[in-house]
Amino acid sequence: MRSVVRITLLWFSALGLGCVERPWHGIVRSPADPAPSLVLAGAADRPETRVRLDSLRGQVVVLYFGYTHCPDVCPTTLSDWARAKRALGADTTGIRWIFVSVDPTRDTPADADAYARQFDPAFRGTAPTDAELALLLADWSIAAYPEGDPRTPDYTVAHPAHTFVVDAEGRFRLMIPPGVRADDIADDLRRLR
Amino acid sequence: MTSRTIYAACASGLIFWGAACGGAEQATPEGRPTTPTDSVASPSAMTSPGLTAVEPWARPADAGKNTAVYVQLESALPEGDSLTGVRSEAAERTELHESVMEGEMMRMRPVAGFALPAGGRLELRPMGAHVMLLRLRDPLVPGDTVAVTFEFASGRSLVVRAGVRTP
Repeated sequence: MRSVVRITLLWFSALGLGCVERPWHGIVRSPADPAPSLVLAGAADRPETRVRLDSLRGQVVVLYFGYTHCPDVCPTTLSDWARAKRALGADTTGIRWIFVSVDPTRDTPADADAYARQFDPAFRGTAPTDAELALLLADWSIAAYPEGDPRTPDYTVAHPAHTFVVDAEGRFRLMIPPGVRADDIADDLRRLR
Repeated sequence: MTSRTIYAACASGLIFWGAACGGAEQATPEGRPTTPTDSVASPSAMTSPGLTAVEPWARPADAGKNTAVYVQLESALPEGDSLTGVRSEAAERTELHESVMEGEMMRMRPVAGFALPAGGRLELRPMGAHVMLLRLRDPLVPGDTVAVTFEFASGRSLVVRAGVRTP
């Protein structure tokens, strides 16, 4: 009887069933290539709006590309971040949360920073120049464009849906789709930290 | 107590809350006229049974910025209707919008109207259909209330007072 159990266990482990993996909640990027460059000068008088992704090695970087006139999707996402951060508890020092506006016509770096901080004081925001925006869209292979008449104040901006997560080694690891629960976002970030 | 019972209890509690807390005033053109002192006196400021606004809320936002209002509209009417207009004094413009995910992009599109089925429900919720307030006249901070008038194809209208809060 004991040998039957042993053989069964061996058989299961040979099938790989012994190595159980916990699934991620975000979309895993495979291979997890090094994250593209992200260098934004920010406002000269606001050093906290300067972003240089490669200087954040050693920390998990949570990124979103949106705009501050966005009434629904961006605030929903940043509220989910805020709840994920609270779910992570007191120590979230290894995680940086950065909101990047893709609407430089209306958003200054300071506007985007003030917007992000509304959701959590640890969140940072910035906005690119037109030239920086063109570069970052190309580098990250993403799109963002105004819809409606951009000469009026009421145009909307199409922007990437996902939250992007760069791990502590600087690899672009996860894309978290809209609608993933805050607890699940926290779970993914906890594993990367 | 079964989970269904709990849901039913919660749902009736919400409806009661919506009615008891003055979250909605119901109106219809053929209803009784309002008093002259009513601050929203207009053809829409009359009452109509059969429409209930459950859990209306709005996101905080700065003056000049945009925000969204969410609510579940419930119909106890024998015929279907359509939500075809929204008005609010809180913003320069008020529109019905829907957030849509296209491929990996998030977009927002203006919508002419949303159906409210007979005896059914129309849910305006985050990342979906919502009322968009464009260029707020004043900042909306948690604890504030924002009034939005919902106008239906039938001529009915419903004034909803949405509490401002973070989700």
